Amino acid sequence: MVDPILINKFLTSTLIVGTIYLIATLGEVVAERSGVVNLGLEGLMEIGATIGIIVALLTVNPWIGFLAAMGTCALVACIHAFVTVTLRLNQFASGLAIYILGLGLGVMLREYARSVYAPLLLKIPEVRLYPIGVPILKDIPIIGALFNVNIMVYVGIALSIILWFILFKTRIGLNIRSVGENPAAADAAGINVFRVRYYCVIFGGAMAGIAGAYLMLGHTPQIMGAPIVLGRGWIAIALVIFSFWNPIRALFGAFLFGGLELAYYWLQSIAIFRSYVPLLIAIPHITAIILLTIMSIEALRKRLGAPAALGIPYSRE
Amino acid sequence: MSTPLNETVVLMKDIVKTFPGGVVANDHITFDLKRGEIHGLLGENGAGKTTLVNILYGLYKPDSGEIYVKGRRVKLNSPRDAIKLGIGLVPQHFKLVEVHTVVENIILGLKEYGFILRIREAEERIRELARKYGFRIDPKAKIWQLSMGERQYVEIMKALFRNADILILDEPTTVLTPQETEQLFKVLKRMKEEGKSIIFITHKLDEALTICDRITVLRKGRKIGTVTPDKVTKVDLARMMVGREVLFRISKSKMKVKAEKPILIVENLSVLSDKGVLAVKNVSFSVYPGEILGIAGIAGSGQEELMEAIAGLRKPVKGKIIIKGRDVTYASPREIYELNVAYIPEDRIRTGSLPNLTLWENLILKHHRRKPLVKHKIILNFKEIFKFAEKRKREFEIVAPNIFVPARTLSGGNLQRLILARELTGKPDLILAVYPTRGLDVGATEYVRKVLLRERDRGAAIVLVSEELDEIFQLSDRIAVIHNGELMGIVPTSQATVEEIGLMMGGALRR
Repeated sequence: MVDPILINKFLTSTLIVGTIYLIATLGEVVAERSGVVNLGLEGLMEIGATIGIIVALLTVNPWIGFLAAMGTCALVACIHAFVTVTLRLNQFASGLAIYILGLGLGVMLREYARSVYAPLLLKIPEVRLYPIGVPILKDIPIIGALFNVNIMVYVGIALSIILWFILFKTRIGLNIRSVGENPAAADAAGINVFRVRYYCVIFGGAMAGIAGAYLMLGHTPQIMGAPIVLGRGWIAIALVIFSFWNPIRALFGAFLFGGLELAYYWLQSIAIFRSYVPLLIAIPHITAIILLTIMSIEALRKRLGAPAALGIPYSRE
Repeated sequence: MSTPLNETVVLMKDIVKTFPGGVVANDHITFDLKRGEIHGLLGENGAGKTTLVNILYGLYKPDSGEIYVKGRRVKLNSPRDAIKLGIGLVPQHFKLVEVHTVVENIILGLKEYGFILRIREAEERIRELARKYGFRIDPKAKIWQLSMGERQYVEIMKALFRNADILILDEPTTVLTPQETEQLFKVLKRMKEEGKSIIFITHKLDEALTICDRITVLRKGRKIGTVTPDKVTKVDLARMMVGREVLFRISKSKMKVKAEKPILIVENLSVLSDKGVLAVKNVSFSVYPGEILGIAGIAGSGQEELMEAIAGLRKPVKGKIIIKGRDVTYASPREIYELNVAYIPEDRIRTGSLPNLTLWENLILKHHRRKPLVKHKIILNFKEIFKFAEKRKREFEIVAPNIFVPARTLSGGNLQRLILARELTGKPDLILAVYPTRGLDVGATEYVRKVLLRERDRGAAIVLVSEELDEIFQLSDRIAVIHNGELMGIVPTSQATVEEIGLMMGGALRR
């Protein structure tokens, strides 16, 4: 039989890794609910990762690292908002540009930091997030996993519940959803469509920044001049579809994909799976490709319940 | 702030509005609205009705003129200002979020129901107001589940929730069945009795005479006059509106003996809409040479999808389409038009023409593969093309400086003439006309109808989709009624009544 301790360990890691997806996905859910797709998630996360770790190491405080990553990515997301909302240019093109910008900027800054701040690497143990590990509770089989994770996992779970409530039970949520479904109707009801979209895109950017910083501080702290997000941003975009633009459902999708990512490391230690390892690595990405294809087919997208005005710039008349 | 009955609540004085390009939409128009009256604003498309109310609603700023609301001079910079003064607009094209509920649509943008929305409280108020004015509405229903008539009530409710006592309804009956129109009129009368003032925009003379207390007629941006319905006849109003005598009946010759073989047979056809739901459900009919089959129905009942399927632009999921004995169910649009089928689409700009290309380019489209317009199969023969285009332009009286201007510079009526000129080249055996007169002024409408009748008399089979019952009755030999994608029945025009067709359009009657 499989060791229960091993199962708990797997579930704990799943929650920790899944939170990377969760936070990025939640931000994108909000942005897309307002009608703007941001394909630049991967790039934003790359910037968030770099800024997060560098600032955290410089200040020896992970939270300042998170804040800095959030702020920086919010600023970069402003570019996307300006291009797509104000200039009304193609959201996909702008998103791809943000992706390339983010990837380059993130890797370059990290490479630079490595050459300048090499000694700082010693401080990594001081800034990384450790599992809280509630005594006794953490040893309960299966459920115990929930009590042996870092604080950001709880933040992620809480955020998905809060965002669900805001989107579906409050005035602001109604405004956001209406803007994403029918901006002309929202405009007629006196809602500033442009402002709502700006806020949502910036929020999505800030969340991607947190996700990137968390990837570093909560998962794999390092300063290497190479991409680190490795497609997780793209998977997060696919997860938005997988969760039907619903923050609560994003919770399940994110942890499922967290598990899939880990499954590869775990399963390769089991002999019979070993020859399938390349396939296992590909699973999340194949799933992402399928989901993204679905999104590009208009009829299917509408049937899944995508915001009707998703991807369409709004202008009066 | 209460004003006594018969007091003027709105006074628009000497309103002038000129649009970029020099079009004078409103030329010194003076308009007043009294408390507790329904004031009709009658005019053709482009007469300036919508511009005038958009000024009152704060959407446009007038170049000059004064506006008084409830006795005070006001400056309206945005709809927000208008709403504050108690002015509500029910737009012609509803602005509703289809996947949201009625209550969500109504309270959108309101602050009264809290940050965490108190939905129940709003629902209660909706029910209460609906009861007061005599209509039914389920606050929990999603908009897409509602009929056009019900959606109109949601728009009216939106205005009422914003405390409107001056209501502007822009062409409210275009999307309604005759029964729904009657129901709406009852509600409007009830509102009038409650002291609300209503501006009723329309181009339908009968409606203006039925519901309005006073009617102001606009023509080409000018006010022609304000009359009361008891002092004028329909003919008077039409003359004021158009500026000349109007024929209300186009003479239609009797249909020749029905040929044995239909040109078009549609069998158990089912078609999906863009959203992937069944828009046409198991529809069967056939059309014979020399007849017009009118398809009546509220806009969005599946008629567009049906016509697109016949034209080859949309693949059916079930059933058969046979044109001139050939199964064309899955044929391409080109295979279909090569069977000599003309298609006059709903959207003149997006489907019907290439707006940025010139008149001649638009005119030769579809014919540009045939001799003599091409030499050696691929090289355009400009001499012949220009001759062809000039001839078509003359025949169909397209008003344009020359054949080298882009199609987008044409007015709606001229663009439709252009499409007719192109589609009717080569004497088609089957003509698919989708809302061919939508948005055209009286003159252009008359022209299009005459052309269709001419084609019918020549022996073409015509399928005509229209939302104007007048048009259906005037032109069709038989009327097929579609409701929610289903064919409710086919009735010979000579045996049909407006009431009956209306009931069928609403799904209440099957024949």
